[in-house]
Amino acid sequence: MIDIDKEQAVVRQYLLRRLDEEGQRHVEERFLTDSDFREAVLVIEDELIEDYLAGLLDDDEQESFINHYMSAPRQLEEVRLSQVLREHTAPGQEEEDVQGPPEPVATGGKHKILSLLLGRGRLPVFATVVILLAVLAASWSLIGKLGGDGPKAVRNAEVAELNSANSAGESDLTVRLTSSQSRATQQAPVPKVSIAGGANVVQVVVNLPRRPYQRYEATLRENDGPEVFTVSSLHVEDAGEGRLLKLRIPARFLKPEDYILNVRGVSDAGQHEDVAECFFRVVK
Amino acid sequence: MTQGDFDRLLGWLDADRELAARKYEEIHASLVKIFSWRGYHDAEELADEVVNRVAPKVRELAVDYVGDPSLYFYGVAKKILLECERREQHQLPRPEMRVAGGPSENADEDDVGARRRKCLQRCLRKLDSEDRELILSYYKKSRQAKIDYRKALAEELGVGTNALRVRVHRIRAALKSCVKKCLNTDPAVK
Repeated sequence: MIDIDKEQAVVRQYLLRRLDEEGQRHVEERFLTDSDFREAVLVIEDELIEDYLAGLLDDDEQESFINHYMSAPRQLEEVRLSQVLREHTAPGQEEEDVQGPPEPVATGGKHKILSLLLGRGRLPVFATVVILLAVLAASWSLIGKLGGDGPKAVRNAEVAELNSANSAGESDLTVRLTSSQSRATQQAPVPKVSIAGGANVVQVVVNLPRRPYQRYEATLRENDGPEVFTVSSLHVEDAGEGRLLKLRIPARFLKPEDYILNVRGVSDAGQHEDVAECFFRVVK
Repeated sequence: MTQGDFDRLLGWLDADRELAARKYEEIHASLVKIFSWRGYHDAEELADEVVNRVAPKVRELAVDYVGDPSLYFYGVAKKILLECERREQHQLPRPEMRVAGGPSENADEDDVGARRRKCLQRCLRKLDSEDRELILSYYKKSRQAKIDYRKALAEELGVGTNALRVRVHRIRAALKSCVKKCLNTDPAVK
């Protein structure tokens, strides 16, 4: 049997599209002609997806994964299926979903909790407060992690796909935003974005200064809240004296909230520089 | 491609028709993966195009060609890749590389996500209990725990860690295939 670990480094580079043409040819020929190698590549691909979903890829790998690996819909679907499997196997899930209903709570334990909550004296009140605080803390932590509509990695992937060069460019609503660059000095009222119920894609257009960056990336976050997504390798168009960023966002990511969109330019040397900061309020 | 061309193609791959069909499926699936890894949205159609170009030449190939037929398919695939790249460089429209579906697909995504989860539950139930237990416990572990778990489990099963990783991959592949089929065909989860 083939040693998967030995093949891992090159195959990962291939999947992240970091090999030159000769390297790609070598991997592809073996993939077609050697069944053991083929299976090893598929194992490595599974594990690469797992590492991405677990946040274990370094920045460069993650960027390649989003921009290259997930640029094809088949691979995006692979990631989504793996995400579902991950969510499903989170502790406490599969017992309910797959292996039948959960075991009933031991009567004694259940009664103990109930008597603690419903009994007399200060202890029940104290217990209720502690439980409520614990539930609130857990909910707050969960909301912080998810930031709305599903895990961030999947949202990042979806926005990257929606803004890829290969993706169809239709939108239901186009919003032009002006960069304020500094939140403290922002005097103008926050622009309101009204999203109709049936809208699927909102296109945000931002004017950027004409400076030579190799690429652009953007982060959308709720005002004083969690990040909604980050997308890199955005393309911009030259427009008059400046440049124009057109960012397409699934409408369902935008809840009635205040948002901040940060746009960064990335130089050839990999330096990041803030180039725009836009505020807007979503109303539905 | 005519039925005659396809029969000749299978005959070229192997004298045993069943083995030939399996070999054909393997080559086609591998080409789909390669096109997809290279970022092409219509990997399936491009793999079909490779077969369509190879099939009419099989009469000559059966006489002249020496070596693994898979490599001939790959040669044709490379030619198609070059044609695609040339089209991109000339900025010609690439309808074959557009994402299938538009905004309406996004509108359904929440629904598809829910269906995907239902299908997964259904497909997990279809696995035999040993495989289900293996995949569920395997996915519960963190990365380091997984490495330790792999070692322990491989020892328990009397197999190497490579064999275990392949086994997990096969269960996962079967699960994914079941989920995809369920999403496409099963009205109960629509």
